[in-house]
Amino acid sequence: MTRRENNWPVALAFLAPNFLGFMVFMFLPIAFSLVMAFTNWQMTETMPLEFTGVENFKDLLTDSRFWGFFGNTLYLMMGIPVSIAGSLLLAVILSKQLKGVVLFRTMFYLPTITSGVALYILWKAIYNPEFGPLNTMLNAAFDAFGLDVTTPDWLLSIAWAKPAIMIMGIWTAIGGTNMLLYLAGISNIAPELYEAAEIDGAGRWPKFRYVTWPQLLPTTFFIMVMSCIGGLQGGFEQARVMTRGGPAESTVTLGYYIYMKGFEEYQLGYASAIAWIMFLLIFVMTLINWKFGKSAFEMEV
Amino acid sequence: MKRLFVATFAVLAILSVLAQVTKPTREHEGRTQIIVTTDDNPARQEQIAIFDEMFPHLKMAIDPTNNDMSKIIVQTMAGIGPDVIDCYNRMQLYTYYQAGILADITEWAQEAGTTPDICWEACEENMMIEGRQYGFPTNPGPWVIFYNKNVFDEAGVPYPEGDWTWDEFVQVAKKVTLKDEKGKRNKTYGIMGYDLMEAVWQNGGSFYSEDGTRCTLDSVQAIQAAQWLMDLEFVHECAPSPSEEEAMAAAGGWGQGIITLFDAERLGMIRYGRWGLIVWRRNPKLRIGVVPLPHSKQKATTFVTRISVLNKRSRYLKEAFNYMKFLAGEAYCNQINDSADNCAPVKKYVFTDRFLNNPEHPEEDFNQVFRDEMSCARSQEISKFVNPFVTDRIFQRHVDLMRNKELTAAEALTGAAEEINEAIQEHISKFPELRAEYESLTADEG
Repeated sequence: MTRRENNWPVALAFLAPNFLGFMVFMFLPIAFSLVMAFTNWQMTETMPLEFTGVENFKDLLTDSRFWGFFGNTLYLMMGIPVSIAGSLLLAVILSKQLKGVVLFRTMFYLPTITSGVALYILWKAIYNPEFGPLNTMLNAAFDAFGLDVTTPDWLLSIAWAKPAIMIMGIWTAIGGTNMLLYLAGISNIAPELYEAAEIDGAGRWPKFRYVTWPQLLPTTFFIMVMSCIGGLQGGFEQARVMTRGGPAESTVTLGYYIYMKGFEEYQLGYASAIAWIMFLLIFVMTLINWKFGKSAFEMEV
Repeated sequence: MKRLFVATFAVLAILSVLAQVTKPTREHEGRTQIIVTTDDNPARQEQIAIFDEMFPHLKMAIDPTNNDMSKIIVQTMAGIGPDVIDCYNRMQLYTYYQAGILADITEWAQEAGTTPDICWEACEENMMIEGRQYGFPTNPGPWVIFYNKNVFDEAGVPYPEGDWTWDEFVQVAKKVTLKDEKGKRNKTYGIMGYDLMEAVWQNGGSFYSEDGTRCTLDSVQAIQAAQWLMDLEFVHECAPSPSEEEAMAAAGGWGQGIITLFDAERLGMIRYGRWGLIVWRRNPKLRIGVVPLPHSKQKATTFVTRISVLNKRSRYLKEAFNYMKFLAGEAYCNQINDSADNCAPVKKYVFTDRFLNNPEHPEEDFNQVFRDEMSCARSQEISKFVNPFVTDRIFQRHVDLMRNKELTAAEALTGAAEEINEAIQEHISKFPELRAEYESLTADEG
C-alpha cells in the first residue's frame, strides 16, 4: 500500500504528457465542436454567436449538396472491396517463397510511405488528357485495333473524375497496410491445416477457399471496418490536390464539404454539425459492419 | 527509471526556458519589426529596402508561410496576427471586414494624404467599405491582351491595333490558331484565359443588379456573353477546351502555366496583366505587343489589385500605418512601375515619361495601353447580401457544367442566377439588419 502511494505521482507524471495532449488536442476540440454544432458560429463580428438549437441539423437534412456529397463519398467507397481483394491476392502471392519477394513487398508498400501530395500530383500528370501516359497508352491501343474511341478527360470530366480518383485510391490501397495485415495473417495460419488439406487431395483453390480464406476472416473483418471508416472520412486530400472538388463539385466528399463550409464560407457552426453527422454515419456503418460482418464470420468459422 | 524521468523532465524544462528566452522579439537594434503577410517574390527584397530606408525606426519582414485567409483570421483573433495583411481581391477584403479584424484607418489616412483621391478611380471600392477606409492598393492594373509577334508573323497576320470588336477579335484568334505538322493537334491557340465576367460586362450585362439585391446572370446580355465564350472553344476552336488547357498548363501555380505557354509560343494571344512582363522579360527572343480587350456593346476590363490592410489588434498599429505611407510613396510606386509588377497605386506616378518609356526596356512601347485601360476597368462585383465565397462557388460550378457541355450557356447562367438569388435569401434571413435593408431596397419592386 505504502509503495503504491509512493509511486502514484511518478505514474501520473508519466501519464500526464499523453493525457494532457489528448485533453487539449482531442477531447476539448471535439467537445467544443459539439457545442458549436448547436450555434450559428460564423467567425464574423457582424453575426454575434447565438445558440440555435438543432437548426444546423435541420438545415442539413434538406441540404441537397450534403446528400450529393454523401453520394460522392459512397461512390468512392465502392473501390474498397476491389482494393481489399487486390490486397489479399497480392498477400497470397507475396507469401510464397519467391525470388526477390522482400524487394517486391517493399516496392508494393512504397505508396503508403510516400507523401500523399506527391502521389496525387503524379496521378494528376498520369491523368493529363492530352499528354498523360494513361491516355497515350489507351490511344495507342485504340489505334492498334483500329478503334475510333475518344479517351476520357479523366479529372476534367464530370463523369470520369470520380472513377479516376477511385482507381488511384485502389492502386494506393492494394499494396498498403492491408497487404501487410494479410501477410501477417497468412503467416499465422498453421501449416498443419494445409498439410491436412493436401492429404485430402485439395488443390490450390480449395486450399485457399477452405483454409486460407476462413483463417483470414478476422483480418478481413478488421480491414473492412477500418476501410469503411477511412472511406467515409476520406477524399479531402485527393480532391484538394487533384481537382479542388471540381469539375462542378463532382469530387467533393463529406470531409471536403466540412472544409468548404468551415474554412471557405466560414460557417463553422454548420461545419461542426456536418462533422457530427459524419461521425454518426461512421458509427452506424461500423455497427452494421459489426453486426452482419461478425455473424457472417461466425457462420463461416 | 525515476532518475531518467527526472533528468528528461529537467532537460525539457531547460529547453523550454531557453526557447522562451531566445524567442525572437519585435525589437531589433532600436527598430520595430512590422510583419506583412504576403507572397514572396524577387521584388520584395527591393521593396523591403525602400521601406527600411524610409522608416529608420522600423524594419519590414514578410511572412509568406501564413498567407492564408483562415490562418490570418484565426491568428488575428487570437492576438498573434500580422501587422499588415495583403488581400488579393475584394472578396478577401470583405471577408476580413466581416470577420472584424480590419483597422479603420480613415482619419489617419486623411491626415497622411493616403486617401482614395490620389489613386485610380476604381481603387476606391477596393479601399473603402460603408464609407470608411480600410486599406490601400499595392499594384493596380487592368487585364489586357498580350500578343506574340513571332506567332503573328508566322501566321502572316497583321498585328492588332487598339480598339476592336468581338468579331474582329475572333477572326484574328482563328487565324493565329495554328495546326501541327500532322494537322491533327493545335500547336498554337489563338487565345487563352478570357474571363466570363469581363465578357458579360463587355456585352452590357452584370453579375448583380445595381443595388446588389439580385443576381442578374440570367440576363440576355450575360447569356450571350457566355455563349460567345463557349463558341471560342467549341465552334471557332481558337481557345483551348478545359482538357486542352489542363494538358497545356503543365507548369503551374498562380498563372505560371499560362505565362510559360505564351513564352513558349503556344499561344498567339493571352489575356493577362502587366506583371506577366516580369517573366517574359527574361526571354530576349519573345516579341510582345499589347492591345485592349475587345468589346461588344461597351469596353470593360477587370481592375485587379492587391490591397494592404492593417490588423486592428496589432500591438504596433500606429507603426504599421507607415506601410500605407510607404505604398503611396514615390520610391515604391516607381519600383512597381519599373519592375512591371503592374502599375503604381498613386495615379500621378503612372503619368510620367518613366512609366511610358522605361530606359531599361525600350522594347516595351505599349505601356500607354495599361494607363488608358484603367478608364474602363471595373472591380469584381460583390453584394453585401451574400457571402462572396458562396456565390463564387455556385458560379464556378455552373461554368464547369457549361464547359463540360452538361448545360447550355443559357441553362448554366440561369441556374447560377437562381441559386445565387436563393443564397441571398438564405443569407439575409440570418441578419435582421441586412434583411431590413434588403427589404427597403426591394420594396418598390413589389
